[in-house]
Amino acid sequence: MASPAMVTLISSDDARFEVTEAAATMSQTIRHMIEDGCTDGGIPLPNVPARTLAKVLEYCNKHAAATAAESSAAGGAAAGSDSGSSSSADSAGKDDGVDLASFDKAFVEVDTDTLYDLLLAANYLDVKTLLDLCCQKVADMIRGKTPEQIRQTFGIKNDFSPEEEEKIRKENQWAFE
Amino acid sequence: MEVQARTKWVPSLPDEMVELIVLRLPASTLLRCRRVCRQWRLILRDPRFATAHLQLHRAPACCPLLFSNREAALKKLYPSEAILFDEAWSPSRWDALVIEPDDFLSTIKIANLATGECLHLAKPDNRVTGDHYFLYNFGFHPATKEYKVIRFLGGRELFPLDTVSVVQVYTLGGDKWRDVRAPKNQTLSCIDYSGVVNVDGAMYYWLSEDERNRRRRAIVSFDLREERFEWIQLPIADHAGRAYSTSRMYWITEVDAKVCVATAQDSMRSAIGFVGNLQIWTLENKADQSWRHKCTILIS
Repeated sequence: MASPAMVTLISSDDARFEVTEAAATMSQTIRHMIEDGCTDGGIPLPNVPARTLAKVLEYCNKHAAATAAESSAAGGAAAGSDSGSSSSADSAGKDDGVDLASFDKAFVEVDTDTLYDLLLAANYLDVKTLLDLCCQKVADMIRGKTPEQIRQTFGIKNDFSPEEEEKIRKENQWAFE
Repeated sequence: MEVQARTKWVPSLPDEMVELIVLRLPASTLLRCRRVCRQWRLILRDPRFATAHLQLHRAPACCPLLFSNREAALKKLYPSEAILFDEAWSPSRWDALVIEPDDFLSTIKIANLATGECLHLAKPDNRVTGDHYFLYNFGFHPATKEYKVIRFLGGRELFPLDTVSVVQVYTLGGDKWRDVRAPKNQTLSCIDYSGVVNVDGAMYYWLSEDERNRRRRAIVSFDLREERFEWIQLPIADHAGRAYSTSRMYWITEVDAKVCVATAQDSMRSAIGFVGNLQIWTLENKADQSWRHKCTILIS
């Protein structure tokens, strides 16, 4: 089996990461850079520090591997003539799905600063599934909280003047607050 | 571990990222989010946000939620009993709605919870003394994209619920209430009990037809585009033959974007009020009035 194509990514703080092209191209930003042939000497990612890039690549590696396993399982099932092999491939695929879901869930169990960095990195690198995952995590953290709890959770400064607060309070009064 | 004051979320989290996040929240949470900070407030008040929110939450299933009872049970302060149609309800500008008629005021308030916009709508001429939130309903037609507020108008002063011969209709964006005459008198005693279901541009509700003291239940649909009433055959025979008494209980709701009817044997002895088989049907096709028996649940 041929060894997979590798690319080098360079974080904003000059750390170098060797990853498979399959993992790297989960990022549309990197995919475009590779397509444009800007890979000589590594791909610089000036907006992503090493700590965050390592985390993003952990996600990309996991998902790229799962995608590869899925497509090879599907290929195997298609090639297999007896029903036995296809059903075993099916069940392997399902296990991967469960595994990936729990990986995702655990992946965003991080402090809010890390989550913030991941959000920005996923946005910049254009890794859609990771961006969705992070946004959903933050949304879940907002759900059911009061405005003050939301501010505390995310360190948001209340920048309303007392007059504005009163106005908003009045606006909302008869609705659900 | 040192606890850091995390001050970088705002203002440095770009607007489009905040938007991506709050887009995922249900409309009922958005009002609260508007009070977090200026940035969030500006984003949430933007009509483009409301549109995006609607597109994301455009669900095949419509789920109007009757809020009043649950909120009263929670003993929280709510100014009036209100009907909230949550964000999954309708695919257009007004995606979440509170109707709050007030007996002492002459307006109905309608709020879009996604944007915080309010409408104060003058009530139609009050031809009856009583007025209640469940006489009002709010519907949307997906084809015309029109929103209509519907008010059932009672026939007699003392019993506004008794019979309804006229439905008053207000189209959002219009300027007046119009009367739509019901083809026959409708007894609306079931409306406050089982409510009105909005499915695909039509409202559905129970009514009782009074035929020489024999009450017969039927379902009426009111098409919001045509503003036409239609009687829908029940999937099973109604056994309520005795004068002013029912032997079955009926419910109407929405399941998988279809009108759904449940019925079970009435029983005073049962703690939940009914016994035997709870039959559940869905209306598959309104035009030919075909029902599908979805399931039967044995109530022991």
